Amino acid sequence: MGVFLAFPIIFILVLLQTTLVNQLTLLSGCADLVLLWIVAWSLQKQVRHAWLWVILAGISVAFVSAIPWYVPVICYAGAAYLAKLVNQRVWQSPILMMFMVTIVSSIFINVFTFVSLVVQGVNIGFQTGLVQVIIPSTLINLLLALPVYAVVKDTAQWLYPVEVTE
Amino acid sequence: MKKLSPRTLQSITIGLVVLGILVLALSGLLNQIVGKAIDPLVSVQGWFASRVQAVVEFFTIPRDVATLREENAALQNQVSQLQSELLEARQQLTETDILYALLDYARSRPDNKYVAASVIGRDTSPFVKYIIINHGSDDGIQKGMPVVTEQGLVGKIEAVTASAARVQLITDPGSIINVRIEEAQTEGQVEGSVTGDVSLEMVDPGIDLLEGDLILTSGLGGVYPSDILIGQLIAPQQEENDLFQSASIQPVVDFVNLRAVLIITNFKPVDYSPLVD
Repeated sequence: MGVFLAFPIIFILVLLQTTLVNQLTLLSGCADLVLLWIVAWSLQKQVRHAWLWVILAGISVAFVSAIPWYVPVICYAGAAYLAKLVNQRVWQSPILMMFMVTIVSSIFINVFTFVSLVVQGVNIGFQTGLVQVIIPSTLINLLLALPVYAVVKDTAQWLYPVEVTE
Repeated sequence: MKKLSPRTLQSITIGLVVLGILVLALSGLLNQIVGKAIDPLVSVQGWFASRVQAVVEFFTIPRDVATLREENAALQNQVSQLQSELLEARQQLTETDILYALLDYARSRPDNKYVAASVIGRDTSPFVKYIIINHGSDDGIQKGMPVVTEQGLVGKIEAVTASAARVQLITDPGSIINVRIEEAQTEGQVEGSVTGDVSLEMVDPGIDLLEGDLILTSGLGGVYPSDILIGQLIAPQQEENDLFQSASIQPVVDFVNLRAVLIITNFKPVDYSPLVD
């Protein structure tokens, strides 16, 4: 069920990202709804086939966006890996983990995008990129992290119900 | 004297009483007496009527409430439907206005062939400025075709699928356009930026740039047709030892509220890639 739902949910997320979310800007930065979903989804312990979601999200965004195709694929995979890593080894507080992974993965994807564009010959000043895009995008992602986490948690609970044992 | 019979006396007495009552009524003195006599009757009548009304309502109101609720629901549905239709009509009106403006622009330049398209999305990354339109290779759209509105230059087609295409806006940091400045009779380059601002670069420092100068495509390089309006020059900047002077540009196209565009389909951009490779 979770495997089949990945397709429509990722489609809806990309749709929302291209039409609505990227118009809610802070300076020139905007939230990355797909990244937030991937992070929150990877933090759910009961979720299976999370990697399918990650690959599907990476390919979808790479197809739609003009940034180099490997940026979303690598960054979403990295974000999911980080989420799985801290989920298994570090803390037991999922909200804190969500915030931490959101900050790290937002900075990572924005810096990686910046570097890949500069390597391609696009003229972007580092300070402009940092002040106008990287920091504002990270802040908006942090703002949206909590509601997205709540929605993802409910969706995961619905798809993969956890049996309570006493 | 003839003695009056009792019957006659009775008739006269009744007549006098009636006459007296009439006189009292006509003089208004009877009203107070009648009023005091009728008031209790009116009260009784009112009390009775209210009780009868209560009984009638007891049997009829429940049915009326149900009917009213049904009518209310139907009216609410109707209002919602009308509001929806109104919204749709306004939307269509706006789209029609945009299309009429685009049509006027297309008619003013009969040499070009155009395909009109709607903007259906924007790029997911804040680092680049691209839009997605709802026409692709099935409609004759090809990579490199210029995209305009009735106001001026929007950008060029960067990627195409069968039913959609991605347009690189002139505000994209990777966009560089060869332009000429109308009044100054000189050339330069217009570059986008990550903030969405557009600037004029590579202008000869010996030229006097004035605010309000019009910036048009020069056609140099063969990427865009010539003489498409880009914007107006604002805030020229020139440092003392700079090789070139620059200026900010106010684009004529409102990229935030861009809804529909025209793609010039009969313009073939020059492909330099074989020479570069």
